[in-house]
Amino acid sequence: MNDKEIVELFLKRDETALKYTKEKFGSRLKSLANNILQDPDTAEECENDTYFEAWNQIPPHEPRDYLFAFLARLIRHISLDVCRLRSRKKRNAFLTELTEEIEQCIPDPKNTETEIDGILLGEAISQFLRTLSKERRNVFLRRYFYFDSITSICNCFSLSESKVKTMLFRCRKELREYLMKEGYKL
Amino acid sequence: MKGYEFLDKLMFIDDDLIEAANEEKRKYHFKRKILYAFITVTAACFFLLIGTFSLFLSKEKEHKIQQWADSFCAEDYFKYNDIYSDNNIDSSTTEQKSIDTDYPSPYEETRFFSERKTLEEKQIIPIMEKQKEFICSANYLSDGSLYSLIFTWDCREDNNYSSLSVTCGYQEPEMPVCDTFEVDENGIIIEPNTTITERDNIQIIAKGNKNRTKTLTFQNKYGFYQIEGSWNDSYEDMVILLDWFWEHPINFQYFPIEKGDNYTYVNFSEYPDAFSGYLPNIAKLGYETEQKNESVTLKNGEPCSFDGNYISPDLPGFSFHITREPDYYEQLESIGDIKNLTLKKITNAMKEKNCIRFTWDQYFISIYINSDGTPELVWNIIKSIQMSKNAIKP
Repeated sequence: MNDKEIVELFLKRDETALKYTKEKFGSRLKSLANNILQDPDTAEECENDTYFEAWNQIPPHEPRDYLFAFLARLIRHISLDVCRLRSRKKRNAFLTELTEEIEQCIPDPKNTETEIDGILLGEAISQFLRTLSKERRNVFLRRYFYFDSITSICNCFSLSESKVKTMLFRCRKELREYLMKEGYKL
Repeated sequence: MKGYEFLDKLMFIDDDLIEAANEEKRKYHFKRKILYAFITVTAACFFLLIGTFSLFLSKEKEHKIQQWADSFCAEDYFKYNDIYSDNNIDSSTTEQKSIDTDYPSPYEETRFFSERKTLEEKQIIPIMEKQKEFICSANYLSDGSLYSLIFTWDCREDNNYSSLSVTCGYQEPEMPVCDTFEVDENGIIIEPNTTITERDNIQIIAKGNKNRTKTLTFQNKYGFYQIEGSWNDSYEDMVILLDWFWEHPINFQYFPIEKGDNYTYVNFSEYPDAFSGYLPNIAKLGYETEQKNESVTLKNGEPCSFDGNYISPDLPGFSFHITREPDYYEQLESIGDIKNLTLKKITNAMKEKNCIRFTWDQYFISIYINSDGTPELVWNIIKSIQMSKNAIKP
């Protein structure tokens, strides 16, 4: 069943939409949650929460063309929230590693007062990502959106560890320069 | 804004980019139908035609091919490329975009050649002092013949960032480098300037300019060469590489597939004896053995690095990484050999970040610990590894 047909089921409030969604996307969504939480049981709970959230958000949203992206965004946010709620201190090591990496993109990480509109920031980052080659863009997204390990990325793109690390380093630096040029003080 | 919030806000990235990265994982090795190749080539030809036609029509862009001379300096190769000074275009009103050429991967295998010193001694590559990281990768067709060779030199120091690469082969690789172009505030494409220099009857095409990615491309009887530099690399550094490969054409015979290193990635369960005696005793430390994520990187079939992620309901989680091939820049963060580690050294290092790096025999080890992890816990992890090592000694 394609994405449009599944979304139509959501819009008709047909509960088989959830069944087809789970069949088509379940394993990838759970994998994404597990990357963040490093806990398969909690990842499964987040997966179920995602379907519930999708049911509540479609309608008004109608992600006919990008259903997976819509769901991935939901489960990612839910999983990060779980990390936050469990305990501010009990953030897993993998997430700590990624957090320290991504801070290199932030022009002014010490500035904790500025509120920045997430949608505007997302647009800016999207624009930046479109200036990159496809390989670099996908490596960046696999790492910081999908929380893949370096090893997993090496495997997927047939690159050496060193190459992936350097690629990510370059992207982080270039994103920082781009955000500074665009006047973002984060 | 903190890193955690920034990671969270990545959820607002455009849908198509998220989908594309997901698709990439699913079908990265999937061979596209010829129809896609045909459409892509047609699209690329269309853009090339438009670009060339515009070049001929536009008097402003009517740059002649310049002749190289001994007195040439690096800037001369990019003479017509600095569009901002030429056309008084304000860089703050322009936007960079890229054309995605969704091309099927034309090669089957990749191998790596890591002996930088040997390549320098044999004068296959120049000595590049500033760039401490070097990668040489070679791509091969299904019959094992060389498709393309890529040398990359990187420097990851904050104020000294550099990334220079040379892609070469017998002929121009079919998979084009993603092309970048500028659009002005009205969304109109700004004609990308190129400078063509003729040297020894060979045309050298320069694209890009200061503060942008830049390339120098030429093809002689020995092969095709493209030198690429990052926004932070100077014209001079680009031309150093150009001159080197001009005078030292690559002997591609030096890179047969059987001489390259082959990296593969497997689950630890397939190589349970890998790094025996150098891994933490998870059960003894109180971590759940069922909930772990462990993988091994093989180099030519032999384990060369290990990655493990461990969690516990009662203890801070940690990641453990051991390798025979540490990154130069990671080595700079090493706090010494395991023999000389003390709780005090670990405590001091953890004031900066939740990561400890050190050496042990022929290995390089990195331990990432949760934000609530203590130096004492890291110390216990290290002690548990040492006890495991001692336990297996005859």
